[in-house]
Amino acid sequence: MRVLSVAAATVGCLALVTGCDSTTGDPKPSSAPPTGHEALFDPCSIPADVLRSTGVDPATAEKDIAGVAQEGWNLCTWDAPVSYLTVFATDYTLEDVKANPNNTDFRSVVVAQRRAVMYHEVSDKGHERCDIALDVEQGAIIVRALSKYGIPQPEDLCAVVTRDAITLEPLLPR
Amino acid sequence: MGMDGQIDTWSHLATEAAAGRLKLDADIARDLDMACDKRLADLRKMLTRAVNLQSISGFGDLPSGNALERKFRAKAAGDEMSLDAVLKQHIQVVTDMQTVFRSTLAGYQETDTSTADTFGTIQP
Repeated sequence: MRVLSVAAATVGCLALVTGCDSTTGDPKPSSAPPTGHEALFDPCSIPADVLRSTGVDPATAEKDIAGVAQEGWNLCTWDAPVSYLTVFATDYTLEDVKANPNNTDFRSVVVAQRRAVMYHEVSDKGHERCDIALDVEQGAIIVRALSKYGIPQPEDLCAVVTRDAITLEPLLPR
Repeated sequence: MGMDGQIDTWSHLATEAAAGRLKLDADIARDLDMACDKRLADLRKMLTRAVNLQSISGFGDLPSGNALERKFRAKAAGDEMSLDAVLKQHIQVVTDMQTVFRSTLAGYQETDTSTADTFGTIQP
């Protein structure tokens, strides 16, 4: 019987485990949000009880991209057991979403009587996420379900995001 | 060792562990299993950030497109050497590591069970 060295295996893992843990924190934005930002809906303001009914853990909320503000956008991401939910608010319109060459597979859908479009991104060849964009006064709200990469998905992410969008709809701006 | 080498090494070790030819102290294996869980959660979160950032910046060049911005965007997600492709490779390697650690733990459990069975058959 061959017995491989425990030390070698341990060092191998730790090297990767500690490889870049400085990037896992949540850096704070270094300056005030860009102008025009404040007028947009803040998805992180969605109440915890509504979030819980979508299956996400409200305590996992991450604002913007690791806490860094993105000009012209507000977004919030939460963890569900095998997926993530991100809600984007933007002043780009539903027409812009449809005209964006990075998006494809458009399907017109109705979310609680609101005009919306479901689509994939061109780069997402494995269908590891699915988006629904709703038409709102200030632009668009995009609801996105993303797989936790490598974890088998029990359900199509477009079905997940459809259900999530319907649950969140009463909280979204008109 | 490059990422391809890491993938080969850990896939090989997973085979060895499944065959019972790789032994690891059970406490160490459990600690490493938990470290892998934490690492996978962090890597998946980073991947989601990269993907969401790419989507946002993808609107910046409407309607005509800008070659430089496309090039930077490809660094976040979408092509072979992009951040999302690299993060996916890291997730694969850590998943393989975890398979190795869990296989050695499963080996201990089997040994415990068969030892218990042996004792169970010894009657006074």
